[in-house]
Amino acid sequence: MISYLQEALGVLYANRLRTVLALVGLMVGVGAVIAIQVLGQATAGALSGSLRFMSQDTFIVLPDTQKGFDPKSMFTLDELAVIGQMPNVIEAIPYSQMAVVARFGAQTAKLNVAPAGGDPRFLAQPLAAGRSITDGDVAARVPVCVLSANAVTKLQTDASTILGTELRAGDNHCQVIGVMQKAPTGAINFDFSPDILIPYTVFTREHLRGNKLFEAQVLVNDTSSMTDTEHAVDGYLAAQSNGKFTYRALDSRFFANVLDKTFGIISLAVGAIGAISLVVAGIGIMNILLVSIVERTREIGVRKAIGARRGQILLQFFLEAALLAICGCAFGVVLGLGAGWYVNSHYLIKISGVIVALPWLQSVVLAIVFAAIITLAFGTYPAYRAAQLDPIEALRYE
Amino acid sequence: MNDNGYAIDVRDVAKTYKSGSLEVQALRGVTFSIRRGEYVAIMGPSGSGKSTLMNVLGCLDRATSGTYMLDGVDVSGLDDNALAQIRLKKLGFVFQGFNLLPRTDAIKNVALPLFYAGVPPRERIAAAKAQLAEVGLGDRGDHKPNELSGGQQQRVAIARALVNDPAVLLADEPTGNLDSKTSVEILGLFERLNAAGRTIIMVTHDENVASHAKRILRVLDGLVVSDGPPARSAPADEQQRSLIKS
Repeated sequence: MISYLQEALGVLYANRLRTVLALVGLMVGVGAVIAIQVLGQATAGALSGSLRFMSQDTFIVLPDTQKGFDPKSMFTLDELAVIGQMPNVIEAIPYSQMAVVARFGAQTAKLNVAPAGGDPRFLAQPLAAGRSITDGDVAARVPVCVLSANAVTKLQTDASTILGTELRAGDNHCQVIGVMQKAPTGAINFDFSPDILIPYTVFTREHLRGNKLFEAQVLVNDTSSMTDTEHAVDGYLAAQSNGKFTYRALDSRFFANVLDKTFGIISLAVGAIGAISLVVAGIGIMNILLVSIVERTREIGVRKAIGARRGQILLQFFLEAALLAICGCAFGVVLGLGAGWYVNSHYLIKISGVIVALPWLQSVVLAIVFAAIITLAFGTYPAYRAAQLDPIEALRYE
Repeated sequence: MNDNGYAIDVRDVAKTYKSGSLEVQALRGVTFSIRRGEYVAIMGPSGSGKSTLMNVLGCLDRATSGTYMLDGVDVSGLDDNALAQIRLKKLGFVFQGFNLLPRTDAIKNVALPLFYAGVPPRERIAAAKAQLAEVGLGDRGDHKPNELSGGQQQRVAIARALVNDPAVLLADEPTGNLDSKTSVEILGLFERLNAAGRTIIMVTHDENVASHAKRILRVLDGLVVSDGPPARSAPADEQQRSLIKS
């Protein structure tokens, strides 16, 4: 067996050009398949990762605007208070954003002010420094605020400097009590995260000023029965309008569904491209292996005339193909994963801000199995055919 | 082994090719024997059946009927793998087109039969080098076929045919692709090998080439039509025959 391996290596070395061509074909084929698969999946991962912007414990309720928006469908703070008392609801707050010009020292920046409840789960991002808004702040309408990392950057300062200071936001002031972590900014930028979170009671006093609400955000206790709670809230608001309007709830599962559909399509497209590259790679490998048939048929004739048995010839050609497949696939895996890793770390992550683990295993296995089958089939089959021939015919083969 | 001094003993060997409904009788029952150490030329025009005879003698093809004893072994009924084994152990081939493996150096080409015989690499290389030296190419072992002249390639092919120490060396138009000067060299090599005891069978259509052999079998229409030593010249041949007859 070792002797046959040596012979196979010897033949591969003697026919360097053919060997290198086959290896390059295999390498590029396998590499392209892996790179496309890996990058496709990494892209989908980056997109979906960047779109997880909503707390899983809350839902948003709003009038159904499919037939157009009617100002009468908006609801009152009293109705919001009733929702806040419903079963499974921890807190119900207005959902809104106001653009203000914030001033800190000599710096000004356009920022969004949004209401938050006394529960830290209303924060769009975890805290990086300071504390969150409390129920006490909400109840006593304390003018405190939690800033996003983005706001701190826009004000050209840092968390430790701004923490505890008074920030001027529009016509109002607030004391900065906390700074949130940097949000992963998405490849598709749904920038829903507000810059300045203030207690919603302060927000209603300063910005709502008795106006009705278009949207409310509801924090629930038990997410498994969130759908029931959503129906209850929708039903309550519809009943308040005497059935004139309907309301709907949007939660993270709703967005997840939309995203899943989108990424299903992206995945399908990526899979199709991958399949095409597999076929192209397969044809390339096949061609290179088949091109040498004439010469190899004569070679097999010579070997048979000399006294090689059919099994010996087949074993040797199989070993040659197997060596090609192993080396080509190994190079291809390195090439494909290298290219995938490079593009992912230098471009994808920079654009999306989401670090995606490369889903390499499946792609690598798929590419290797496919390439190995093609190589073994098209490396061995012509040899099988030629080994069946009479040595005389094989020698005459032109 | 049934050792009766014959390298080859052929009795009533016939070969019929079938292509569709058409049957071609390439050999119609030939009988002859060749002793060890003989140097025989098989002659005949194209279509005479000499190539078929060569293929049967070389165990590349099986006779349709008749018996063929090679070096005391009946090879008539053997299967493909057994025939391969016979070719490996008892026969050496030299072809018109040399048929060396391209891009493979002379030593490896010569060592190829030993690889299939299961000889370890080091011994293979040593034997191949020795055999190359015997055909006068001891200094060209690392040359590839495309770096060698036609005559040198044919010597490599002869070395490869001999490396297994076969009972019979079969040469099919060995000078067909060579110029006359190189042909003489190759034929000289055959004569030396024969003088050293090799049994050589050579197929050719060239009278000059055949005249180097010690015995000529003439094949026509699938039959051996004459069997005898070559004539130095045609009239002398006639004289000899008339003398023998009278």
